[in-house]
Amino acid sequence: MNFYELGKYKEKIINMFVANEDIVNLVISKPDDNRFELGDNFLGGKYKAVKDGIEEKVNLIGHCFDVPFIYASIFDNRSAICIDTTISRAEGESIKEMTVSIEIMCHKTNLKLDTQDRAKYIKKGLSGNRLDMIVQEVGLQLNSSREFGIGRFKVSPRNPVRSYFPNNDYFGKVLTYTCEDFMTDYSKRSLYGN
Amino acid sequence: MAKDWYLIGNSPIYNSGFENDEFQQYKDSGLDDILNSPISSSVQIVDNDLNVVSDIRAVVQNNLADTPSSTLQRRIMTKIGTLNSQDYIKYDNKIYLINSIVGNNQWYEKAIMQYCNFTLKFQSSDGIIHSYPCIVDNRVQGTGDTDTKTMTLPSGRKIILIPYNEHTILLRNDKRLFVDIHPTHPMPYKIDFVDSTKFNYGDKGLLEIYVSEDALRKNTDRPDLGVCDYFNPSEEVESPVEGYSYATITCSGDLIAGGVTRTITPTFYEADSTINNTIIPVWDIVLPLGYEDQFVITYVDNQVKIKVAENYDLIEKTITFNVMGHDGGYGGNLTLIITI
Repeated sequence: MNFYELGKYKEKIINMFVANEDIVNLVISKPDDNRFELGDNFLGGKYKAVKDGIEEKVNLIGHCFDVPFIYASIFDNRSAICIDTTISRAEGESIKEMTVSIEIMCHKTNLKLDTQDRAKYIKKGLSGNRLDMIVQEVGLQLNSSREFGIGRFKVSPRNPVRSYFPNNDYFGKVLTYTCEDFMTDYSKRSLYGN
Repeated sequence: MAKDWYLIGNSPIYNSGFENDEFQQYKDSGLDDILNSPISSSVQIVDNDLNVVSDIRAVVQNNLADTPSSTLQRRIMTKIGTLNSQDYIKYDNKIYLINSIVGNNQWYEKAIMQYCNFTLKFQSSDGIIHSYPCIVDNRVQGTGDTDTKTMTLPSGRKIILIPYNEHTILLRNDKRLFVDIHPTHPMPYKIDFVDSTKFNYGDKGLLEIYVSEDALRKNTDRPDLGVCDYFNPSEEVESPVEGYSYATITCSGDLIAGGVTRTITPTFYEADSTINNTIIPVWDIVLPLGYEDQFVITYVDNQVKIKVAENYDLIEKTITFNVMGHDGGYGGNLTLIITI
């Protein structure tokens, strides 16, 4: 057994999210720094901007993280998605059950969409507040996906979506998915060979 | 001439022989001489917009302080009846705020003033942005951060001292303010508590405002204006065509698919912009084509009541209300977009 999927699943999910315009737009109500692509604002990281021939290094905090926390201190009312993976069950050397937790957090002041945005998303078939809509979009993106492991990516049978309060100012939902995966390359299971 | 050596310009007539009378006779001219001497300074009493209210001469003390914190405070002495608590004093190109009760010893008056280290801006309900120099001190306990397992949020706390008046008294709990000099990303703070009694000196006084660090709201906060939760001030109604009567129409709120009943109200104006309340309106309402049965419209006196059905196909469709006076003229219209 190897643990390659712990990182790979998160990469895949983040790539799906950043390519999904509706998820990005719901999470980022206004770009942190409009000199950069919305996707860069979503992912965060170190970027360079040039103004009047002078290069400036910019560190974007980002809105989507492959750890269950946000690295930097938060000075605004941003929404964020944190993704974590665990192996919840192992069947012998080959089969394992992956569990993916997706925490979606919205600042209390950012939950209510403005009228124009709400109208736009309701016409697209979403409902509720910003958090509800992000949850729905994530669900549309991931539920029954065939991108992961064996069969379809499915929501956890117990508490697939639950509420939580990251702190006094934020409200969030945790989505839990499970997926069976198996080893395809036995040479990578251990340094000690087959 | 030897008489120029004497400071007192016009000696009072003194012939009673009692020391008390002598003191009374000499005290004003003596104070004048002190205020016109090199130990005194020209200072200005200014309003919150830094317009000069009056120029005065005063002795300002404590310019040579021994600790950094005491460099912020000065004692000011001048003629009785000049100073008020909460006055702004411009001295040495800096703005100070009198934050004490003004006292006197029957000869001169004295007050404590403190350097204003920040200019607070806020918007009142009429949209006007007010600006007040103020004294800001911090009251951070611990690290100034609140950590949870998921995130770290700033939790700085400050105290603001600002003059009490009809504008500043509107600063109440949950009002948000920028209290930071960062040029592009100032930190907003939220009011937790306003103490209007601690520095209440009768008709004058100061508000002590306790604030804690809050999150920047990118959609409504305006660091460029220095104002949190900015909104566009409403504009005054002007005649659409000069010299003609006209009407304006207002709606009691957003027209929402499946929302509450809204009231449409006309106001009729003469050509000189005076209101005419005797006009009976004649309405013409243009509904979205093909969706006419999705509206419940009733006429009550001069008003129209309208309810929109919960049909999301109506989102972003428009309704136009045209109104005229029953005898012609007084025309006006309002187009509303149905929203959610």
